[in-house]
Amino acid sequence: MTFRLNIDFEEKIMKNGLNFKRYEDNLINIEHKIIIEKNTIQKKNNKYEKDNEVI
Amino acid sequence: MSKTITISPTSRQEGHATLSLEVDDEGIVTSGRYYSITPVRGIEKMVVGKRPESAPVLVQRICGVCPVTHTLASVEAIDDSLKIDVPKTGQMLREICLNAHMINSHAIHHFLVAPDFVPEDDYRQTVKNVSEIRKQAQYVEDVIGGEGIHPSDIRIGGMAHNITKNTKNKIKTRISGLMGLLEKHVEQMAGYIEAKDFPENLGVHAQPVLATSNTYGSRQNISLQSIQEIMPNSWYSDKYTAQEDEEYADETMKTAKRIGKTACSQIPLYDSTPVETGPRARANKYRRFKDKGAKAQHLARAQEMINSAERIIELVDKIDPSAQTMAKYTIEGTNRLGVGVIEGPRGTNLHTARISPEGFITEYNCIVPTTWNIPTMGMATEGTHYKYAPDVIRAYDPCLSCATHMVVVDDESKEVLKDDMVQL
Repeated sequence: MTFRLNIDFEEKIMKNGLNFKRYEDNLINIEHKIIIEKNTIQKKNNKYEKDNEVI
Repeated sequence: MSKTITISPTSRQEGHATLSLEVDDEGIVTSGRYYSITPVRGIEKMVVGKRPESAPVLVQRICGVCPVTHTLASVEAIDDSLKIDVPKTGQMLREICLNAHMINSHAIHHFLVAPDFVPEDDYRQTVKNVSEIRKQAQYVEDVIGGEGIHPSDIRIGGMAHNITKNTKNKIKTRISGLMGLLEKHVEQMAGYIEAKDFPENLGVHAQPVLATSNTYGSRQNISLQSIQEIMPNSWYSDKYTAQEDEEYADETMKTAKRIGKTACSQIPLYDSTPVETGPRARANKYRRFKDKGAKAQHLARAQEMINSAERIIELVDKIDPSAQTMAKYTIEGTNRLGVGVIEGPRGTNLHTARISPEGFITEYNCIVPTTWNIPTMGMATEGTHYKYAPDVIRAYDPCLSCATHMVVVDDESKEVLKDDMVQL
């Protein structure tokens, strides 16, 4: 599967600035990554017993 | 020994997606990954540099299934950015239009999922019911929004026009008349779902549910500070270190890396975890509906159609046909980030917009319902046999074109699908 962007459009995007959001430099450091994993694993273990939290 | 099963593209969905499932010897899913492979359109980038009036018109093209939701989220974001106070009648008309759209879109969803649980003998009648429901709901969207698909009369500052007394009566008569069919349809769908021999706990996950309003959407009930967006290449392969990455040690890791490079939707997190949004989330938060799983999704969706119809009848009574529906405003931005939050059929639709003092859009971003649901849906496939995984996905959210925002671009060779992900 391949994506092809129109070259003009692509250049326009490049010129206007790409909204890069990389994992490494986008607010999320290693400690945060660990919290995310912990949250997800903890929740998975209780999935049948507990009600979903409400946001 | 575990193996990976790939279902691509998944069927009976709007857009294209892939399910990559790690299963054990008995075929039980131990790790479910679901991701969009729908090509990117780059609509958020297209609106940058344009006048704010262009944004609702362009972003409603994100999806032909729920254009009302995107239009409303867009005008709400721009209203917020420009600090426009929408007149009360305009706001009520917006809400009526959204609730009519909710009924219409849930009916389309029932049409898509009917083959999963409606008996063959009853299928024809179910489709007839769906068509009749859609006809009446679409009428309301037409007369208030200007057009049912890609509505033209939902504008920055309010609604382009009010409705006449005659139209008000027609809406009330039509939706009141629809209640009987809606109740019958919901009862039938609930019966079919209950009778279907889905495994117990199918589609259950442990993630939180996110909802901001019972019938419209509220920016006050969501915190932008709690939201993070993660690139798919990081999310799907984040358990592997850079060193392991170089070694490409096993098949599982290769799969994760491949998914990360192919997925076209970012992963939004709320308070550092994926969430579910949509009819069950709203029912859970506002209507004390605590059931979980795929069956609960179908049930909550069906019941929400009645909830929306009741809201339309309640609001249409309050409409004053002589009242003003548009606020007077000038497009002089202050670079303030405007937030528009709408509870669409599939869930919480968040648009943000920034307008420059010269009156041009300088920043636009959408975090749409399916994007929220994508990581959670993968988790919901875990714990049951893989043959039910597509049923789980369709029960949650079979809509993908809105969720697609990413493409991989190699800066130097200008080739796509290479090194870096770009949000469009």
